[in-house]
Amino acid sequence: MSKTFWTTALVLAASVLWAAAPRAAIIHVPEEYKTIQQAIDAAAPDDEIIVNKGVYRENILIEKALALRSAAGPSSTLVQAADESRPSIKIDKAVNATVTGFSATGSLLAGVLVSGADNITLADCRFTDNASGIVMQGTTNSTLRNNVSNSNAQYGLYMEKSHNNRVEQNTASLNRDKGFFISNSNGNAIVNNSVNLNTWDGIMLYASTGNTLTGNKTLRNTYGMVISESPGNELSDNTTIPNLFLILPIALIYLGVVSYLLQKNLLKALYKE
Amino acid sequence: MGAILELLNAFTNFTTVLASIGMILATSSFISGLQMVKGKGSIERKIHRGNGFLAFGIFAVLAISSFATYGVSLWSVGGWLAGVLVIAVKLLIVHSRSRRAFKYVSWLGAALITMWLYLVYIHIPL
Repeated sequence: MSKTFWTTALVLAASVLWAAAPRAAIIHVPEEYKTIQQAIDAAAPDDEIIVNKGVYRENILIEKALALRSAAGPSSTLVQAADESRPSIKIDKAVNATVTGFSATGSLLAGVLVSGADNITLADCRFTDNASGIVMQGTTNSTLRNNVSNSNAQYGLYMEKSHNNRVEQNTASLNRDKGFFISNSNGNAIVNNSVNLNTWDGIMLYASTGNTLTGNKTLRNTYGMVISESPGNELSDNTTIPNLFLILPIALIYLGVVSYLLQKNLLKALYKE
Repeated sequence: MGAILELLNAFTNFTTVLASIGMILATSSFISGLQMVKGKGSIERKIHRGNGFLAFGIFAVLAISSFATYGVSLWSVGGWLAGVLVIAVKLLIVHSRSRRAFKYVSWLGAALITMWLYLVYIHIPL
């Protein structure tokens, strides 16, 4: 048995193993499957589903590790809840799933409901005109990034019994209750979000500990940030009244006085009173 | 430097510029109004009327712009009508020339300034 034989055998074995190993497939909607749900059902774990632009009237359920993303972004890829009593998108007990670049609307429950899941990434999505934009229940180690959750009937983001998640650079405005409602959730990082113009609280933390709230803007809500029954949270660099809200009116009153004096002197010169 | 940049950035929004001009005019009108109460001359009257009239025009433009952008709701109509009411009551009192009513004019002027402060506040871009 020569050295060449063993080398050849090793290379052959490696080739066979590589060919047999399952590789992530890319599935296109609507080219390969008409609906997003059909593509999800057909996908194997770790597959990627790319959805082309359009309006998809369905309720999406994700229960496995996969990447679901839109090709054209949230402005032209809309998931409209077919059954409005269910969430437009539901991620249920999945691990390592990613949803990117969708708009979801028309649910009396939630734009997206993430339930009992772990290590989920939800990014660049828009959730408008639902009961709540984003609902997380019993979800851990997940990331919400750069989502917009506006004009919902209740909350932009409702997080319940969810721990060690990261919520960053999201926008939750014009919701008719709270922007972010974080309840019974610990160890989350809420970073650099804009939570403005909501009817009641910008961010409410209830019965939650060990959360970090940094660099958030909560402007022109009835209450900027409300911390209730929640000891041991860390808050830094959050803004509820920016300097501009004070500087601008003072500057304008000053200009008003200057304008009065200028007009007075000008008119005096004109009419020679 | 950062504050100045932030201030300049606010003026990239057209309605913020309008509300700010309205606030400046309302302040000038308010000061000249106070001078008129003290019995100062016709120049004060010109400033008061001119600035007040322009400020009311801007108020009307802001109201129309608000309805066009955000639609008509009970709250928005109520809010803008409350502003019109303050302006109308102030004009009525001034034109009534009643000595008793006249002592409330400065309060109404202050109410108008407060109204403009609120208009500026809600038009600052976020």
